[in-house]
Amino acid sequence: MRKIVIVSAVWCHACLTMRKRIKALKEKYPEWIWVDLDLDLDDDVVDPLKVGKLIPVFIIYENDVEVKRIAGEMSQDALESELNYV
Amino acid sequence: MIYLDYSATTPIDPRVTEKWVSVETSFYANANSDHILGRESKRNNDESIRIIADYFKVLPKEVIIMSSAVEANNTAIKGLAEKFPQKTHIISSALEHASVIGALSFLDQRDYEIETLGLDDEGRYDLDQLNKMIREDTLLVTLIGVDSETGIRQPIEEAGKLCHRHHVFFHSDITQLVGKGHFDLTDIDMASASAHKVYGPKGVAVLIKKASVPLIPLLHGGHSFTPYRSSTPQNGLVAAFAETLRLSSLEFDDRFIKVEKLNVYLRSKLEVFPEIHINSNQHSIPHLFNISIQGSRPEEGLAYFSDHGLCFSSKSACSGQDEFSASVYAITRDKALASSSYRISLSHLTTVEELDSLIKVMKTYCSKLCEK
Repeated sequence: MRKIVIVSAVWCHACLTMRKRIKALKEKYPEWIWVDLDLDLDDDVVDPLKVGKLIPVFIIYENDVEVKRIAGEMSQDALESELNYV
Repeated sequence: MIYLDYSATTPIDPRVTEKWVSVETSFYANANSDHILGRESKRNNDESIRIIADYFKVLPKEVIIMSSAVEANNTAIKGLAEKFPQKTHIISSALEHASVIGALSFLDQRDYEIETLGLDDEGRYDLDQLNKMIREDTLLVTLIGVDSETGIRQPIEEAGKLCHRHHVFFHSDITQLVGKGHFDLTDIDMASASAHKVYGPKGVAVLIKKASVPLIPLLHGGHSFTPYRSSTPQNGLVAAFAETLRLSSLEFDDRFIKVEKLNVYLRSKLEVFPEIHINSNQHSIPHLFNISIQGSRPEEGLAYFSDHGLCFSSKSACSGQDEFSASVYAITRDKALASSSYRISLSHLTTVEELDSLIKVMKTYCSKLCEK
């Protein structure tokens, strides 16, 4: 089971830009579990993830084991490719 | 310590502090109270609002006192969206302050469509593109007046005219422009600005909202200065804001000429460094001086400069790419320059001696980079 945890912030322009691309991929891959976390509001969950300064961050889990982590603004195609290639 | 981060905030002018304390002491009564002391407070507040309105060349009833530009930006964007729920398309830019991006993200989560306007090769808004982006369901165009990283003065007046031709509302965050350049709000429906960027106190700001623009307030409560923002009138803070704008207007030419000379001096000294690239261009206000130091990492560089008594900053907002400046990339098209930029902000309080110290430390820093 693939799970994608996305950490973003409301004040981040890259996160705003990525939201539409993420939404399209959520619709394309409904079988994946998508979890949205707010860097500031969900700090109790986000802090242990140690996501660093570069956001949005995408953490990919396969059967609850982290297998990949990517970050920053990218095209929808690039994001799709990264999320598929684990 | 040498402070060169005046675009982040400014020290309060002692004359403004004096006004603040004097009004807060003499006119402590609630201006909403219907007794003699309350009426005196109200009269004093009315005079402060008149000074603020005169500065922005608007009517007193078009001045809405806020606690911060963050609140002003949020009120303008969310308040208009609340009023016109059938229009869900908003155009903005990648240069905006976090509070504009935050308000737009809030609406994006409620199925608004937020689009980003591009920049031309000189880092200014592409108005031809804006003309094509405006649609039937466009509610608002919100564009910052000055790029807070490179200091590039944006063509907000022209953008406002264009929006009005399309019958679309136009808002601008002019916080970095107040006190640093002239502007004309004729075709700007709403504008945000705060006092602390122009030698006033923190905790007071303004949203200029033209009388013809309907808006739902964010805060609901009793009447204050206007029905658009409830709270007990901040008599002292508002008088201080009026005083800071009055002084800014009165001393504008002297302050501007001094900063312009400092800018020319700094440019002449730094442009000979082979490691330094000056990013601010002919459209930049002289108060903001953006450079890239090739091979430098801003996080490490800022720590070095701070350890040597120099306070300035790198990029001002999250770009989604670590230490990468979208503003600098727009004008240089160079990823290395965009990843090594610094923002030095100048003031009429800055001295040539302070700049000489900066230049000296920068020379040592560049030499150390070369040794690596």
